[in-house]
Amino acid sequence: MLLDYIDFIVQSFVTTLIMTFLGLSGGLVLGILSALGDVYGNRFIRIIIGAYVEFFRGSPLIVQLLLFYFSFPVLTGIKWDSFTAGAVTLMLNSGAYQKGYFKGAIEAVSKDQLLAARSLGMTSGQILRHIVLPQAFRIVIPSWTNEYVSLGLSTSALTVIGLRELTTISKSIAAQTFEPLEVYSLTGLIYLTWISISIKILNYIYSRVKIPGLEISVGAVPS
Amino acid sequence: MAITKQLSRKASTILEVYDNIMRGIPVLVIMLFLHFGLAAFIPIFRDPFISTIIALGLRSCAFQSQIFRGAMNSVSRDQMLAAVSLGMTKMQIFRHIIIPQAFIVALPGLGSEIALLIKDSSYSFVLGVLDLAKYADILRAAQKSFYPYLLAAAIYVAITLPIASYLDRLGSALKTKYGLR
Amino acid sequence: MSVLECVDLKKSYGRLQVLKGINFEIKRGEKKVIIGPSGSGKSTFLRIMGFLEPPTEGRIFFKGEDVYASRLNLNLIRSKIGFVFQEPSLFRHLTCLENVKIGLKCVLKMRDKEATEKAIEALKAVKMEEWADYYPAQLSGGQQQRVGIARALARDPEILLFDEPTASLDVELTWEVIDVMRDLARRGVTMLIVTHEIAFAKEVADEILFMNSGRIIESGPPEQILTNPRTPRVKEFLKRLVGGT
Repeated sequence: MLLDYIDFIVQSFVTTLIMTFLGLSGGLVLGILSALGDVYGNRFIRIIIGAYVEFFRGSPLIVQLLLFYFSFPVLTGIKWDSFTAGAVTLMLNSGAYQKGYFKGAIEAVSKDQLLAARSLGMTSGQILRHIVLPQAFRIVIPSWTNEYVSLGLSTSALTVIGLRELTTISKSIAAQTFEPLEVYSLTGLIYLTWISISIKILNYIYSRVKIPGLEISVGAVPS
Repeated sequence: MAITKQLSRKASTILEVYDNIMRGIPVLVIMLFLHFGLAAFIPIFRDPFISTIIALGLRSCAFQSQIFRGAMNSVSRDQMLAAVSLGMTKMQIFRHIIIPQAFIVALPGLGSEIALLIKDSSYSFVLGVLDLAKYADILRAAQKSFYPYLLAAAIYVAITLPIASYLDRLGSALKTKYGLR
Repeated sequence: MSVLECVDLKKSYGRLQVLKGINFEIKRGEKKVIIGPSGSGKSTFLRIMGFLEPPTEGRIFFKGEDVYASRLNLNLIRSKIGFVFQEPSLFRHLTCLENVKIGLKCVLKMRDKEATEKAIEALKAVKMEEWADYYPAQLSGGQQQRVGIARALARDPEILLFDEPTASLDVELTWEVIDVMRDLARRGVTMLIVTHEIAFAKEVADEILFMNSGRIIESGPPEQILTNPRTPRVKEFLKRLVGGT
């Protein structure tokens, strides 16, 4: 029975993967930029970043999706589909969370080391590139794993704007087959397998790039 | 749950599996599973509101056990050793030494967990519960404007932000006061 | 020829005046040691002489040039000065070798091969060449501090500044660092050292300066300062230091 729908399920799962990937990579760029802005920027920049982060961390992804999906065409006159709207919203949302992780990681680089780097005659740009960011990236990996899991699961919210990802397709298959129990069990299993394997891979990567003395994780961040 | 985990190894394995399941499946899918999948067998899940609450509760259990486990592990070995040397029993150590400290350490995590619960309650939207997001959707359809969403988002921010930041601040203030890390 | 010189140097943080007018000069090949109670402004003085902080007032000359008045490139001057900090401040994501190399490559723009050779040479000078591929967290405090010295030394600096390099170390580890410093002194490296190791100061210093609440209140050759100080404040300090440790 369910096998008849396997194509749809695979396709929708690929969409889920793509959205996760887009959201995470866009969020990575946004997160690093806003973390740097928050740590090194002036008051004005910090206020803007603060407002951005609080909005996206404080409100549900569902509401953000609906807001962007419907407001953008009204404000700009340009129509956009659920794919673009979803990807942009996920990026903004993930960026707000990743900013927190990166800020913590950047601040975890000790002041001693910054002073030592200056005593060597390194410029601010060199210090950022050679000292701060390489350490911040390693420190941030455990929290980043959390963000991957959390964002990956959140892609199910894309169903509210009708994007044909795994949860949306599951809903329509369940409605067509009248077998919701089987369908949603399978859906859950797919998510579970995907996330478990991903965590294993990320932990493996983490163990490979780990450096003695740099295993600090930034706060206990659930979800 | 976190306490059970420390006490019994067998229970710990079962809870580990439960944890992993709850952390690996979107809460929305759990809701759909309960409301549409199980409703035929367990009538109470026909109510979307109940399905939402149970799904959120099940997941929150897993998350909170994680938070408390981390917090309990943060209590230093020295103190445990000192407590044992005083002749305290395991239960006494839990009650008088570990729990009071762990609770403080867990506060910021609990704050963000509460905020997460409030935000994720919006998923009930998909099941058709008349929550804040749904109201906004109805209003939007009626008025053909996106402002209801903006308002809804603002209300969520206004609720979650103070809770999370208050518990965060309280947590760090208490940590400083008692010198906990 | 003077390597570093300052005239009427003052520094304030807000309303707190930390340095109240210091005149100082160190010539090529000289070794000078600064002693004094904590909070007397020794570290601040050293950081300003290393161009890690600007002075509030006064002039600083590097090899005869007024650095702040002629708006010289500070990073260029910093690259000619070696600074060793109180806390071992190695870059934690880099191995010992990479720690020594990074300044050579980034700032002095050396090629990788040249930088490696130079870095190994510096690590040999502090007897740490066997630890080249270890990360800072895998070393003892004394070993980290020696790598810190190698990092400062590798660029063939005009002068080495030491800010209580043994203050955060156990007694045993102190000696391995002191040995390295004594070695450098013998090789004729110009050094300005803040330390509490009186025996070491007596052995290597051409001049000892005593700092108290933002001023140099007494200076002279070690024999005179340590055995026959003029001011009672110095006498008291030395008595406590010898009695205390």
